[in-house]
Amino acid sequence: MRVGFVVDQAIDVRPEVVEGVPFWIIPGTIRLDGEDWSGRAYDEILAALEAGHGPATVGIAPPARFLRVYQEALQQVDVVFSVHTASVLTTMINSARMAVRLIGAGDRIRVIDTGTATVAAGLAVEAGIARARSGADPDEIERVITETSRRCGLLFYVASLSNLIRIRPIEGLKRLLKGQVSLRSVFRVLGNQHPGGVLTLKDGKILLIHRVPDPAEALRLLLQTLQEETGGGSYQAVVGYTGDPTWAEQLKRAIEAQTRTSVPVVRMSPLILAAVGPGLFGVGFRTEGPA
Amino acid sequence: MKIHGLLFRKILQAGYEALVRMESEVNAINVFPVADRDTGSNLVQTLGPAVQALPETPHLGNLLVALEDPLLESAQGNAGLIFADYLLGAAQDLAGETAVSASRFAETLRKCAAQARTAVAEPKEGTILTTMSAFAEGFAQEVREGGDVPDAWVRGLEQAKQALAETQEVLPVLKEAGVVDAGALGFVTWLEGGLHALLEASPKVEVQALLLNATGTSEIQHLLQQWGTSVVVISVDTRTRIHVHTAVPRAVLRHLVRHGILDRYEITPLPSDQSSSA
Repeated sequence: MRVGFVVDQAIDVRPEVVEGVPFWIIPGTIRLDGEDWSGRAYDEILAALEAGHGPATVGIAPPARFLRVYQEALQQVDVVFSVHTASVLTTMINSARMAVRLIGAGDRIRVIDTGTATVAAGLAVEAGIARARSGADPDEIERVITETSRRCGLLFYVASLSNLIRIRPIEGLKRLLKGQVSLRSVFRVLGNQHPGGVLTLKDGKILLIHRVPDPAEALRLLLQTLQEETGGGSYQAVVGYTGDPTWAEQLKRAIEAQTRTSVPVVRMSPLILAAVGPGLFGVGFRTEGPA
Repeated sequence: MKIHGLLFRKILQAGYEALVRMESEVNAINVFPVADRDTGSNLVQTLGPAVQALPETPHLGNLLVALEDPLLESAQGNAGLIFADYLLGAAQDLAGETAVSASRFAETLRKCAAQARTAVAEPKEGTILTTMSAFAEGFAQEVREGGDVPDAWVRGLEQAKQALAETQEVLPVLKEAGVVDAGALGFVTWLEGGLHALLEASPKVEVQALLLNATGTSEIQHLLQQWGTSVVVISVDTRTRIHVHTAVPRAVLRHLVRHGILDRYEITPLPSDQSSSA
């Protein structure tokens, strides 16, 4: 039984993990200064945002884009796992579901809502790929992705709220906390109004929970929150970033010291870059479990 | 009266233009399901390419089928996906039809509203879905009572507007924000634009009525001007004479009785050169 994986662009999977596996990424839509930037290179988008262009807006991939990929995938594999960013955050999965209905492929396409995003959702995909490599049947692979998604969480730190404040994701993040998504936020706010602080989103409102004089304090808080979220048990982590990776490397080393495991670092997708802006650092983590 | 391709093309275009005019307002009230302030833009982006690709064909089914690919290429956001699925439902149901009667169209609207609910994993009331169902119900109700397409559209629109107003009661997040649902407003906006095109293109009749003890005559005047031409509203003592050339005589009468005692009325066909601008 040949299986393949389709993910939306708001899910970040390490390239080395998908090597040799039929794998497709469905790009979303990026608009900047009224123009379509969806096909632009990552560095070009980054440079534009850092130069003060924007804010960028992001949109879902329309159903036709999923249809084309599914049609191609079904010619190569028997079963497709279409794995998606949390439905409470984006309607991408609804676009996928519409395409599945129109293509009429029955259970040859399995649509899965990870309930999370970016590097955390990537961990769930990785678990599915690992199980597929071991020869598991489609039901088992689907179960593993679904189960693993429930044990994945996402923490993040944004070097500047300026982009978030100007664009919509900040509202989306509020909704996340009301849903089933395991996500907490650690923000360091730059600017005169809130010089150096850690924020969280609670009950739909941004709350200053801690003063952060510098990124070192943000690092300490991230590690502390990781410990809380994982109950002090063992976990696997992936660090993601948009923009400058320097701080991501510091974060990686700190988590490695804490967990005594290797922590990969991945650059997040252009869609995440456009949605949140440069200076985003995320930690996707997966706690140990039966899967 | 039949709905044919050229008429529905006008409806689609006018509805889209109304959405374009309201894009910012719809964006501004978008708090559900994700408060990302883009519902108006998503609806415009979803419908825009499809409307631009509309062929000039009298064949209703061919017109609707021509919408399918552009809609699938352009659908954006929850409301956009839902609206796309709504129109895809119409295309599937009417693919072979050159033109349809009010009763056939009522059936299609019901199917469209049902199909739209399949566009999202967890359909919620108090949203665009509710207004789509309300429109279908109102349209069908009017047809059952003898109304033709324009009257049925007005009745459906009234029920959709009622459902829009009630979205706040269904979804606490809307009440908390003091807004109605953005997707539902988008759909009602599209219906209103479509009605304008439908009224322009439909045969008209002359309605003359005498209303006793009328209240809100300025409101009557405003409403009749939306629904027709040659509007005259004259009050002397307790008697108000009404005159209008309209495609929706039943809607006119239904509203008049809300404003007074309808003492008498007369509906007269107009000569063909005065009855339609289609």
